[in-house]
Amino acid sequence: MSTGITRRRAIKALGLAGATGLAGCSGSGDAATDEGEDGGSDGSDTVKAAFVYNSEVGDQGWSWAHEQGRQAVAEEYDWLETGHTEAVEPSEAKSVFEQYVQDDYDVVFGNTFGYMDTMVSVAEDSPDTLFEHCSGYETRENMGRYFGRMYQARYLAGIAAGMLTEADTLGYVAALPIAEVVRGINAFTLGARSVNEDVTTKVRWTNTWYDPPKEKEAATALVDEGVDVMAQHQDSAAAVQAAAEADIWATGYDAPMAEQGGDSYVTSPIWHWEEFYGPTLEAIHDGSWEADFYWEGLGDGIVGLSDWGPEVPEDVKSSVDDARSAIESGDTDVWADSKFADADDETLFQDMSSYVEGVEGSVPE
Amino acid sequence: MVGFTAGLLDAAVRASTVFIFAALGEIISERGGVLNLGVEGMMLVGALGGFATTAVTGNYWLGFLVGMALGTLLALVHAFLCITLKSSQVISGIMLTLLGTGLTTFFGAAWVDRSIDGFPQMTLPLVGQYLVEIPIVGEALFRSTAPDFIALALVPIVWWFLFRTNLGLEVIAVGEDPETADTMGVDVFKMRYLCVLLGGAFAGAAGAHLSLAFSQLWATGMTAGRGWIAVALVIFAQWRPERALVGAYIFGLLDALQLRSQGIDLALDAATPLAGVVNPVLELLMHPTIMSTYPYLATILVLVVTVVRFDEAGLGAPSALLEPYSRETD
Repeated sequence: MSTGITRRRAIKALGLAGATGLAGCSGSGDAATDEGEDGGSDGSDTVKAAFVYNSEVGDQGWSWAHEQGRQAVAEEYDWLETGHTEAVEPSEAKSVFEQYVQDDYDVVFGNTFGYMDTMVSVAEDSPDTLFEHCSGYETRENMGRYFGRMYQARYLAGIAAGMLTEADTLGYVAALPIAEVVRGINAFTLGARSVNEDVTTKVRWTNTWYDPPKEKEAATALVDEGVDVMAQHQDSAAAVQAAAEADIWATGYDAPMAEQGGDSYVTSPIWHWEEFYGPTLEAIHDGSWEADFYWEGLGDGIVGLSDWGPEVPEDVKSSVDDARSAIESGDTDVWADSKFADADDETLFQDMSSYVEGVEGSVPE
Repeated sequence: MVGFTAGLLDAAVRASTVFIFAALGEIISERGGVLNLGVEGMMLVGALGGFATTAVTGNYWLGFLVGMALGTLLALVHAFLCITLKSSQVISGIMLTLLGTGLTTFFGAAWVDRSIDGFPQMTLPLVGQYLVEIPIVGEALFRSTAPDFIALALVPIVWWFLFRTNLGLEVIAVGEDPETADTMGVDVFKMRYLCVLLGGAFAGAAGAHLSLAFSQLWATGMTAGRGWIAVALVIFAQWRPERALVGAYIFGLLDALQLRSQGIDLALDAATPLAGVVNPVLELLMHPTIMSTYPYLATILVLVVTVVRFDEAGLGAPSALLEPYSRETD
């Protein structure tokens, strides 16, 4: 290890503090002798990756989806060692990140927007460690960012909803009025209106990512207002469950929610984070990693739909499959017929703060 | 609008039950002189215990009882610390909330997103089937789950217990003036234990109602601050059960309004005079985040109004609240 430290100091002294891809240097340079026993970033072929989550893994929601990705890559690569910490509040993140730096992890992934500023400051202080931040807008030489074009999967779910609805009214239980959630509502509505132009979407904001009783109440309120397909952007399956109890169609989010949805379950837009974690870790392993913004969609497989519910008609499935191919091939642009047709990626990602036509009301300030 | 109002009232009544249970329990505890800030924690163990029991046995009544028992068990810790060891009620209560949160997060992980058949909807026995026909309020008041009706029934029972039975008067005595009560032959320690444990059972029932009747699911931290609202509600109700019922309905209504007001547009037409002033204010007042603070604002308002109109004693707080009792002191 001492040689590693010396080399690190030398690099710093030379002003190469960014040290991008330092971990990779080891892969090509020094022989792997210690098989990752205490696997530092230098002198070892092992990559040590830390995953820091904002919530409990067991909740079938956001962090659960990331944890599925971690488990997939941990299984796949024998040169990979992983660690993870759950339920880390942004206010506690600094010490967790720093501990991983101290423990010689090569890369630290953080899965929530609230980590951004902390991660930037730790990244600046720890040039030998790589960082990847999910859903934010800051990058550094040793800090990349990543997200997925979930709106494409939302659009597909919207197509199914637009074909299934008889009341032409869709319900959407939404967490917080930020760009990510608004993007999902808009894409879902555009998908529905692409097959049924009479559709409108009613949105109820719970103002929390996770409060199952409240999510359920929001869904019940929407049922009372006559929606017959439910969608949700929350961390639990409560809205799906409420829809099942009211015997209306429901689409979930984050995880397959077939169990809660029962016979009237449609599908869930879901994440496959391993499609990002895998290639990223390989790049770190072979030294080709560079800080950038990863924002891919259906084509990369990072987002998708879960299996269909038992009662979804065949014509719905085939229409969604067609739309999926069209999006993957680039023939269909989700935003083409909306007011966001000319928006660039930055606008779509950061500045989406109003509804498209077909969504009732306006986004709360 | 009739449909909206009926739906709103129904949601408000359903949301109020958890506050009724928890606030009644806290009133008993505080009337006996022991503040318990662990309501949130006791509710969580009640919610998880009730849910797990029901998931395993399929018996929601058993689940409800287990929820009450676990709430009582956690309250026993508080009673031991505050009554026997005379430690700080505030610190012990907060510790109880943190303990309940931590324990249920750990042991609850396996039960997240499991499905159960909880308490079914029913009409009030005997007369309910006719009363649900009453326009607007009928469904809200007379079609509910069994724990909703039990909570309502407990309001007069607790009132009668506290103000009309010897035992209840002894409770009030140890909360107001434990030295005198002791002199009169009331066992202050035993009485305070009773109050705290009853409070725990009620909080456990509140939690079990949440997971077995209201939501019919278990989720980590699912009480989401409702225990704290119940603590505020006790002050709002000035330690009186019947006012707690009113408060619970108001807080339940605020809860329901947060979600249901999003469907209505109250904004004035831009041409109306003062629209430029009224609309931004309305928008602020109706903002979901601002609305979630209303229960606490209402409590502050009651505190201020009562203290200004009467004096601190008029507030109704038990005089010996927060004071550990020990016989040696005189």
